[in-house]
Amino acid sequence: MRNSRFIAVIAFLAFLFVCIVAVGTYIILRASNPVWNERKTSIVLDTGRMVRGFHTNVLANVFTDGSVSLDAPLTNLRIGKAFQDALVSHNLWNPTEGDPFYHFLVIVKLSRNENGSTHVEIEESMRSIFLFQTYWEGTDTFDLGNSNSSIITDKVRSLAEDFCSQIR
Amino acid sequence: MPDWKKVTEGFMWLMLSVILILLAIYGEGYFLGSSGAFAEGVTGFIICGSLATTVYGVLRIVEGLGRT
Repeated sequence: MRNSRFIAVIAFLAFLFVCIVAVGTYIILRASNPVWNERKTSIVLDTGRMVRGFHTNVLANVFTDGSVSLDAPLTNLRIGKAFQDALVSHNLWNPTEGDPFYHFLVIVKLSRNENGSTHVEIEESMRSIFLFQTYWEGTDTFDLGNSNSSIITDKVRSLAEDFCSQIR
Repeated sequence: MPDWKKVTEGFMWLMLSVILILLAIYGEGYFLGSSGAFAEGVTGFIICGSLATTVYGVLRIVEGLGRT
């Protein structure tokens, strides 16, 4: 009986540990900015409105030397919020309207504010690229892991390289 | 006397629910890369599973502690 109680206490402590790790991870990831890099000039985003809100995934990074790296499509909360603010301020996006399942690709410039926070900007010169937004009808084609992945990857790379050639 | 085995089992279910919530939050990025509807469905399914395990875990703990 005493042994069973000991195991129950251990289970409770383990549960507490998992909770602390979960909350800590969330806070750290939300506060940190893994997207920022001094060598990085811009990022390619997959963004759109979802039923539960606005999502933004970083798909690729463009560096000052012209190289492009493709990222795993992970949602970045901090960049997502900054990007959403930029879209709204440019009157390019209204989160309350539109198809709930809506994807498009966007390239944005990154810079740093005086307080060290990341500034996300969509320049007017980029508007043409922005308007080259891709509406994935049915959304099934947008899958980095399916047979269309090479097409999508090429599109992302092409967009990123076009952008890079303009800012060089 | 409380049934400590049930209490232990309850905490295990609660741990599983927390892990499922983490999976829903951080796994969403992968799913979102594929399709909006798919991502919403999978994430919703995981969250529902997490809620179910939470309720079940709490019930097991209450049942274990309440047994005399």
